[in-house]
Amino acid sequence: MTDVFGADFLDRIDGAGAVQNAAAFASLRERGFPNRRVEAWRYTDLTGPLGRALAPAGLRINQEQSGLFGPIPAAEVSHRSADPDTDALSLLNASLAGEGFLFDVPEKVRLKPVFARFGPMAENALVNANNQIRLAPGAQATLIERWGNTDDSWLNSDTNIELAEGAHLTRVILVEDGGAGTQTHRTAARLAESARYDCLVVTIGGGLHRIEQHVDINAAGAHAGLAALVLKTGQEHSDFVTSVRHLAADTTSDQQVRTVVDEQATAIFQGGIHVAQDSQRIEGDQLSRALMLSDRAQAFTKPELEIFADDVKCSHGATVGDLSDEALFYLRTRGIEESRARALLVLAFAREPLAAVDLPDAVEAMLDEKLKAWLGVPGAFEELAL
Amino acid sequence: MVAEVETIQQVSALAEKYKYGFVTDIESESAPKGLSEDTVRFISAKKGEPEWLLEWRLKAYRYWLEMPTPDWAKLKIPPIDYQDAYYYSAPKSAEFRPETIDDVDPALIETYNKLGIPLHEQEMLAGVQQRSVAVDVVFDSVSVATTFRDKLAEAGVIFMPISEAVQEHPALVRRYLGSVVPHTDNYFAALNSAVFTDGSFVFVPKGVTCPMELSTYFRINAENTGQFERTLVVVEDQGYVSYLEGCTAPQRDENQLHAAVVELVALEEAEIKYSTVQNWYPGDEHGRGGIYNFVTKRAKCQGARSKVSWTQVETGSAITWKYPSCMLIGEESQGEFYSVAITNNLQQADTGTKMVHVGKNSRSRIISKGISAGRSNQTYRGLVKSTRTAKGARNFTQCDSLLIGDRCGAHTVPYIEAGNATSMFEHEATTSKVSEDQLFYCRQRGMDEEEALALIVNGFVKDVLQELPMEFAVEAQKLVAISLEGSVG
Repeated sequence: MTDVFGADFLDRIDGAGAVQNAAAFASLRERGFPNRRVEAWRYTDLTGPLGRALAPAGLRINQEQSGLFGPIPAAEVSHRSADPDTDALSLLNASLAGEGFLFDVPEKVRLKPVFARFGPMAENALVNANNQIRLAPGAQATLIERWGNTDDSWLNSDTNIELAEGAHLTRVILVEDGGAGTQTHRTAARLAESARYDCLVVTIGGGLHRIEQHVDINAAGAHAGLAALVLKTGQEHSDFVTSVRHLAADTTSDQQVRTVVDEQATAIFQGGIHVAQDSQRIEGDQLSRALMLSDRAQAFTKPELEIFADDVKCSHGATVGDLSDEALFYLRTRGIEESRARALLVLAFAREPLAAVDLPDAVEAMLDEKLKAWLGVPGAFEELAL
Repeated sequence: MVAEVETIQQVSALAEKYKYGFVTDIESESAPKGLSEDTVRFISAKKGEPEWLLEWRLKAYRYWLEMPTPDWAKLKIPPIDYQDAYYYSAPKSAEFRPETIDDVDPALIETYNKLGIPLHEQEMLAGVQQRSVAVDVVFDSVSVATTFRDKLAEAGVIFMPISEAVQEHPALVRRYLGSVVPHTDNYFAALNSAVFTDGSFVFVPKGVTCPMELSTYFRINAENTGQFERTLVVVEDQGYVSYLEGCTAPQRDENQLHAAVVELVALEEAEIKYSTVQNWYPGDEHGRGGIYNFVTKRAKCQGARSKVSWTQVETGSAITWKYPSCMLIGEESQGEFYSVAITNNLQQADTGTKMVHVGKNSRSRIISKGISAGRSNQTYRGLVKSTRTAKGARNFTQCDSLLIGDRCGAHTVPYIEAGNATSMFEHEATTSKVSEDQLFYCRQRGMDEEEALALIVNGFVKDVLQELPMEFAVEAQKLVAISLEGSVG
C-alpha cells in the first residue's frame, strides 16, 4: 500500500470518517493518485496538495435566482461510479462528495443568465462537489460559475453535462484563488444531435489549478467551442486539459486558448482532438498561444490530434513567445510609452478568448475588470476606446 | 482473356511493389541463436575488440536486462522473443576482408548491382554521374566493402566500418562512442550497445569539407537475424559532410528486428547533413512479415554555429519507432528535421524529432509530412524544448498529415516546452485528405487515379524531397508512388 501515491492523504481522509462511498474509496486506494510518470500528469505534481492536512468539508453555494438550480439530491449522489478505471480525482469526488448542484432545464425553455458562486466553508478544507447539468431538447441556458478559494483549501469538482437535441449551453467557469490553494475541476459533457456547448474557462491565481474539459460529440450537427484565458504569476501553476471526441459524422469543434505567464509561474495546455473511424466530414480547430512576460516563467503545450477518419479538416496551431517587437515599435511610434504599449498588447491578447464565446454584456464587463486588475492596468485606458 | 490480362497486370504490379524482396543465396556464419552474455562475448571476440569495449557492451547488456519494454508510442508491437533470433550473421567469404573491390565475393557484387548500388569505383568514375559517392556496404552483421577509402584519406577524411575503426582509431572511437546516445538512453539503444555488429565511422578533421557524398547501404539478408548497426559521425571545427543511408531486406513472412543507433557530433561551425531513405520490407497487404525498425538517432551540436540537418524518407518497415534529434548546445547552433513518412496496408509508424535548445540563439526547423493509406497508422511525435539558458531560441514546426482511405489513422503528439521568455516557438499542424478537386483536375487531364494521387502526394512532400541530395531525390520520388500503390479504388 505504501507505494500508492497519496496513501498518507487517503489514510487521513479515512481517519476523519468522511468517506461516503466505500466502493469508490476502495478503488482509489487501490490505484492511488496519478504521479508525473502518468502521461496526462507529466507537467503537474500533486505532491503539494496531497501533503497538506486538509479536512473534508462542505461546499458553500451562493446562487441568486432560478428554481431550476439547486442542491443535488441524495439519489443523484449515490450511483456514482466506483470503476477503478475512472479518473482518480473523480473517484476522490465520488468517495466524498455529498454536495453539488443540479441545473435542470426543461424542454424549449430559454433561461436568462444564471449566476452562482462556490467556495469552501472553512479554512484548510478539502471540498468535493459533484454537479449535474441537464438541458432537455431545445433548451437554452447561460450559466456563470465562480469558484473562489481561500488559502490552502482544495476544491475538487466533477461536473456531468447532458445536452439533448438542439440544446445550447453557454458556460463560464471563473476560477479564482486568493492564496495558494488548489482547484481541480473536471467536466464531462455529452452532446446529442445539433446540441451546442460553449465554454469559457478563466483561471486566475492559485497554487495549483487543473481544469479538464472532456466533450463527447455524439451526434450530427453538434458543436463544441472551448475557450480559455489563463493568467498566472508568482509561483502559480495551471494545467488546462481538453479532450474533444468527435464520435459522429458532421460535427465541429473549436478551441481557443490564451495564456499569459509572468514571474515564475508555469502554464500548461494539453489539448486533444479525437476523430473516430466513421466520423466523416469533421472540422476541428485549435489555437493555443502563450505569452511569457518573465524570463523565469514556463509554458508547456501539448496539442494532440488523433484521427481515424479521412474526410476531416483538423488543424492546430501553437505559439509560445514574448510580445512582438514590431507591434511594440508601432505603438511607440504613435507616442505611447513602452510600459503602456506592452500593457495594451497584453490586454488585446488576453481578450481574444472572451470574444470567442458569446457572453452577456455584464459578464464580459466583469471579466474585463478582472483582466485589467490582474494586469495592473490603470483606468486611463478608457480614453483609448479599447 | 481480359481477366487473364488483368491478373497478369496485377501480379506484375505486386512484384513491382517491393522489388528488393529477393534473397541472396550465400554461405554465412552465425552466432548461436539467442541472446546472453555469451552472445555479447562471441560478437566482441569475432571482432577482436579491446577489453574496454567488451566491458562497455556487457554493462549495456546488464542494464538492458533490467529495463521494461517501452509502451508509450502509439504502436501495437507484438511481444518480441529476443531468444529466437540470431545476433550475428556474416557471409563466410567476408571472413577475410577483401583488400580491393575486385576481391569481394561476386555473389555480393551481384546483390548490390540488383539493388542499384554500384560497388565498382572505376565504373562510377567513368560513368555519367557528376559526383561520386563513397559507399560502406553492410550485409547482415558485417561491412563487406567500403569504396573510395584512399581518395577520402587523401583529404584526411576517415570513412570505414566501425569495427575497423575500433582497431585503427581506438582513441577517437572511445572518446565519442556513447557520448551522444549513452547505453542508458532507452531500451533499444541499450540492446544495440550490447550487440551492435557493424556500421560506419566517419571522422572529418578541422577545416575539411568532405570531397564526396558518403553513404552506407544496409541490407538484411539472413533469416531470423536482427541487424544492429552503429554509426558514428564526428565533424571537427568548420568541417562538412553529407551522409546518406539506405536500407532494404528480403520479403519474408516473419518479422525481423532492426535496432540501430546513430550518433552525430558537430563541433564549432561544423555541418552535417544526414539523409535516410528507409525502405525495409514493410510486410504484405495482410500485415505478414516486415521489419521492426526501432532506431535511435541523435546529434549533438556541440560547437557554436554548428549545424545538423536530418532528412528522412520513411516508406518501409512494418513498425517504425524513430526520432532523429538534435541537442543544440552551441551558441547559434542549428538543427533541422525534414521528414516524409508513408504508411500503407497495416504498417505502423511513430516518428518525429526532438529539438532541445540549450545554447543561446539556437534555431531549429521541423517540416514533417505524413501520409497514411490502407489500414495503416501513423503518429508524428515531437519535442521542442528550451532550457533557461537558451535565450533567443527559435523554432518553427510544420507537420501535415494526409489521409488516403477511411480505415487509416494519422495522429500528432507535439510537446512544446518553453523554459524562458525569449524563446519563440511556432507550431502548425493540419490533417486532411486529398482534395476531390485536385484529383478531378488531374483525371480530367487524362491521368489515371493512381498517377494523379502520386502526383498530388509528390507535391505534398516536395518541401522535404528537395532537401535530399540529387541522387536520392529521384529515387525517393519513385518510392513515394510505389508505396502508395493499391491505396486507391
